[in-house]
Amino acid sequence: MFSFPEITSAFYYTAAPVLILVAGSMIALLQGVSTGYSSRRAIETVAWITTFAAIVAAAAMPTEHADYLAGGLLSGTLARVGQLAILMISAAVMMMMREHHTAQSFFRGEVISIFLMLISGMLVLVSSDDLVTLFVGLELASIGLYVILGYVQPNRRSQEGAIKYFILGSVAAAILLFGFALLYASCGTMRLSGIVAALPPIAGHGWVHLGALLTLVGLGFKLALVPFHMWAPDAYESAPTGITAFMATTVKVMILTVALRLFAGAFSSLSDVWYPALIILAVLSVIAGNIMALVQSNLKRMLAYSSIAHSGYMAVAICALSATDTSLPVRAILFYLLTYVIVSLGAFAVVMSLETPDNDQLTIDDLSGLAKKRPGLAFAMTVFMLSFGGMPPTAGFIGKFFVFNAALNNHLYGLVFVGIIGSTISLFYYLRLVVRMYMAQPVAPFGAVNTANGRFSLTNLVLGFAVVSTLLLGTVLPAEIMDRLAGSATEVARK
Amino acid sequence: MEALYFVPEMLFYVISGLILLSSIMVVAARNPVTSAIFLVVDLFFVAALYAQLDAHFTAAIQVLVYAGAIVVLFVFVIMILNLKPDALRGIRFSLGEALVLLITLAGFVIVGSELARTAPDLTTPGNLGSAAIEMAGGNTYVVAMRMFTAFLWPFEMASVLILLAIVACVMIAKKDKRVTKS
Repeated sequence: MFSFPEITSAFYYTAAPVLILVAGSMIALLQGVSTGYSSRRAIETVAWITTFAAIVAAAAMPTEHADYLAGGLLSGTLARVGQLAILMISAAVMMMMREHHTAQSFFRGEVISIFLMLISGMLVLVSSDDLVTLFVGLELASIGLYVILGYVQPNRRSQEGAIKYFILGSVAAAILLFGFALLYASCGTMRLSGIVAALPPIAGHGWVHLGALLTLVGLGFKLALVPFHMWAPDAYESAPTGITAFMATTVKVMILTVALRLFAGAFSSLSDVWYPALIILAVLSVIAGNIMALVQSNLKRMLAYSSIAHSGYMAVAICALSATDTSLPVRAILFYLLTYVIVSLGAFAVVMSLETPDNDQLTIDDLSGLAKKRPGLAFAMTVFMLSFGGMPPTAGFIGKFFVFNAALNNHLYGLVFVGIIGSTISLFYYLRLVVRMYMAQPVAPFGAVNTANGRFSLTNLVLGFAVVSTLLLGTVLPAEIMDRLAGSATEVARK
Repeated sequence: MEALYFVPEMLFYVISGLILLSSIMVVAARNPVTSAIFLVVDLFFVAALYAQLDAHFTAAIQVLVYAGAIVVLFVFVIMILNLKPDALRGIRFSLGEALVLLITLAGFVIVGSELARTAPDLTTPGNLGSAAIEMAGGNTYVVAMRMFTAFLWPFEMASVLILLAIVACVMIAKKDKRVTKS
């Protein structure tokens, strides 16, 4: 009746990134309690080796779609793209943290151990077809984030943010789990691909509807869609900026990967249930996120509300998944996600290189006259703000173009209208920052505290990479990237 | 025999009612020790529900792990906190909480009536009956086989999750000299 699972070499290739990260986290944990190997240098070495080994393993992962251990582990292009994205963001965040004034408290045995474990949870999440595994991976990532948020820079403010995130995140996890339980109760299967097959005859059933809606609420919490966004501004503001950058990007990558698998695959026959609910979430996020961002003076809080609005744009594209042809919306979501991740990392890198131990809550006024003292940083920030606002030669414009195009193909004219209004509002606060940087007189000394002005630094490397890829993605690369994402699109839409 | 047919169903409603009652007491009691004791009662009756589904292994684990180990730890923690007894009498109740309760109940009624309207033609096997479980090798055997074959990957990842939670607890509980008030 039961057969033991066949553990093949292909399984090990697929599981390698996760296994490497878990092994690295164990080493870092032991280092933390040892006396001779707990120096910052030793711990950094382990962290870098682990991350790069995991990146290599993820790049070498088989791209043909296969599943192991009853769907717990998937290989395939989407899983590979998701894992590579998360690992590269982690490497970039570690580079930026290295030169930040919180580096000493970040590169500690226990923090790096938890950091690596939570990344492994994210990788588990993006490469799974099984509801139980999805939930375990999500909790691994979330609980690690709650702790790191409050622990790297332990002060009242960050602990308050961590507690808020913890309580709301736990409620969201419970709601998501209840949704999963109802899906299992009605479909009799834990596998997403099994749900696709089991759903059609019972698609009119109340349990299934409730399960899908609760799942949507749980994912909406993690994506910080309005009205489930209350935790995001506080958590983003209070965390050390490197962790904020990590949270703002990786969480979106992992949740959207799951959302694609759910809404393009498992819930495709339920679109009349989740689609109206998601439209409400998308409209509220785009409008409320942008309006709230208008009135923020704290830079990180402004970026937090802007990330809520960007979640809204991605939700617009998810709404377009209710169409019969899901290829364009899926690719639009992935492209938008790519541009959002690169631009966010860049924007937070600018914030990080301006922060000092005395002032780590920068306001928009603190950036006044940046162009006179640090023209490179001001130019980079301008590119990122234009891209966030969706202005032409940047990636943000192409991303919004694809998203609105996908929505228009699905006759979602109202949503596109709302999206364009939102973009117009957003231009105001993005360009206000640019104006401040170029037109106002400098108020802050902008001393070279963390990243030496002009000299080579890893933060500047991340910044340069982000600027170049934002411009390339906005001009020559889009068609190429969209072609490459076609594999993921067909994989998700397996019915 | 005819009358006995209804006994399991009646038992289900009695147990469910007791679960609801003790859950309300967990959140309503002012004294945390009372809350913890009602949590034991609550988890015990959930175990009774499992037993009624012939899931005896799960029922036993529920009593041993939750009602036994975890809640006892809760009680220890509460005792270490050494709360003042005069603020802990009676039941907590405020107008705001009553409103939340009312809204939740309204939502429950709406969702429940919608769920009850649709016919329960679900594909879940549900309770297989004790004979079928016996045929498959017994509860413990089936659970163990599933856990170490089909669900091996989430099982192993859950162990990483628990390790992370332990490390996190130690980090939070340890006295940190770096904490500042700003």
